[in-house]
Amino acid sequence: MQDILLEAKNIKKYFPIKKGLLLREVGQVKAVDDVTLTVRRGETLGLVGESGCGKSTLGRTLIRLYEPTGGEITLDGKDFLKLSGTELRNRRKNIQMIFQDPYAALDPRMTVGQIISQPFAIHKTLGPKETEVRVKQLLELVGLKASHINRYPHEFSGGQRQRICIARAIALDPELIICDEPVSALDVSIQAQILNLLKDLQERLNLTYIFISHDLSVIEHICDRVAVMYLGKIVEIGTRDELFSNPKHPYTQALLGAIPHVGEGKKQMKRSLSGDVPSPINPPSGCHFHPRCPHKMDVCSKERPVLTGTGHQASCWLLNQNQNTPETSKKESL
Amino acid sequence: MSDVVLSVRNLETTFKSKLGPIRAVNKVSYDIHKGQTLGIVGESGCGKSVTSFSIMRLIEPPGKVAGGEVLLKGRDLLKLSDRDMEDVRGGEMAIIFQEPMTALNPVLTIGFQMDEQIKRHMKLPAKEAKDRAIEMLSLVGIPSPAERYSAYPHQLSGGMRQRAMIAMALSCNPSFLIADEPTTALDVTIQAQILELFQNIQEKLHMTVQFITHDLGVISEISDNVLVMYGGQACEKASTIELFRNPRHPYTAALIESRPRLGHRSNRLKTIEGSVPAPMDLPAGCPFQNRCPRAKSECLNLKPPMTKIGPDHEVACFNPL
Repeated sequence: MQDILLEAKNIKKYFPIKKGLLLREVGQVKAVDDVTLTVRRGETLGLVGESGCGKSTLGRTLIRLYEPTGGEITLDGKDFLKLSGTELRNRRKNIQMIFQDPYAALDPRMTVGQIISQPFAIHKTLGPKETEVRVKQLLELVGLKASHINRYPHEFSGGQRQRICIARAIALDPELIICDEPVSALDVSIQAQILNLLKDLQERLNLTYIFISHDLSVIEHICDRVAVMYLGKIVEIGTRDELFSNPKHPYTQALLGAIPHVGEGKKQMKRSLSGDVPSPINPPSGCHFHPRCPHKMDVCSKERPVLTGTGHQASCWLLNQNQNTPETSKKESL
Repeated sequence: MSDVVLSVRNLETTFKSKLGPIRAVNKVSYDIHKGQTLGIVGESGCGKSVTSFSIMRLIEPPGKVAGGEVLLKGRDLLKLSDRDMEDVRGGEMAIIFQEPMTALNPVLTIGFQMDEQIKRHMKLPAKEAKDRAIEMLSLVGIPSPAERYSAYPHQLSGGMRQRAMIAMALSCNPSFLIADEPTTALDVTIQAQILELFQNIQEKLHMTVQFITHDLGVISEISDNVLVMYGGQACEKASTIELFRNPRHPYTAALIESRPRLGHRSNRLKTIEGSVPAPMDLPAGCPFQNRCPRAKSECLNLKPPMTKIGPDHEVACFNPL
């Protein structure tokens, strides 16, 4: 059994909706609603879902870029939410983040050397001489040249910029890196380079990743375990092999079915899901997925299913009540 | 053999810059037959969108179409007057863009924007134009089309907006449609809906389509033939099945290999080293030479011409796989 690095229990993150002159709170967006998960040391946990499902918010809440509205986070056996000041700052050295857009994540007026040495300056771990040596090492570690140290971000391509972001993220030898769609903005041929780099670094530096993406083929490639999110909740979580070969939740099945396959030739697409993702301000009652679900039953609109199963878990009434035959909903006509 | 609807011959589009002309599209040729879909695939900057814009004559200074022919049913669009071109654009030929929020005017209702086009091209009176618009909205599967007709773009979801864009593009019965990354901004489940809609409509209306995307999965499911572009040039052209089964250009092969595929697990992905060259300093010979594992001395200075190497299969490479 691998030991547990991060444990989150019943994490909630609600954003207030304010309206009117006095900005009174008129409602809440439940971006992350009651999520429980564990991250084991050395693994890659994937968070996958469509836009607005709360995957990025969850990633940011787990490392307290957003303060959670409720729940507990234990990092390395210690209560992460109780930390403040110097203690929090010290702990945060161990957690870094890589963002989607490498154009927005780098200050255009700083040289690459300045960008990558920021973590050392902030945490006062190294002197100027040592910093330069270390920055050069880091550049080579991520596949750039030590001579790039005095260049500016605009002199680099998208893929190279993402390498700079990665160098900055690993500068302080973190344990956990949150990768928020790190390859989504990159071209296909560059994606492969970055994915390989992330895997190599994980092996060499014993990193743990939380990998956020909407792209299931990328998730399947890089993750050990995967959590599928829909409207702020985890609907299915399991090891990659189980989840991809035996998806239990109708939403996961639909997501997998919706991906176009390479090289199989033109074929008539079969729509797996109708309708759009509902608004998280006013999510559907019961199971959030029921209005789009092809296996909707009476109970689905009334009660919310919970995650069931050991190891590979899914929250769906089909799994709890196998005796009920699913009533197939009428598909919206074209 | 079905008849050719669009024939592009040696199309060249350049952009003026301080460092000399940038060749965004460099002597690209292809034909699309009636009722067929040609997929154009390539990474950013390969010239796939500029090709479409050139066909629509939407290139603005400092860019210009420097040479070649674009024959739509035998008529050279590049020789038409601006006025005649306006009749073609939105009438005989329509385009769907990637981001419906920027393609639609946010201060006008969907209906107003559709009517404008229908009145201009089909010369219908206001009442009939409205009926036509509502009919098109229901054709693309927008629920309660009569209400959506008076909605503003921001009141629709991303998927619905893209449906409205499709309705608008189809409203004047175009015989040729360009779809420029129509599903890239959408979530996968919505993308599946839009692609399905697209195929149904194409079948119903026998439309000829040029479909542009960077997504190999999408291209492989929607197109009959594929054109692969790199550095402003066509590098391989084949039927979809042939291209994915038997890619001959080293770039095409590497592109297919570098993509993680569902169900094909491997520890490492094959990569194409380096990055796409900037359009202002494309090498003299083959644009892919500096990243190509099979480059030979002649690749450095000579541009490989498109050569037929099989039925329905052409490749621009001196040393194909």
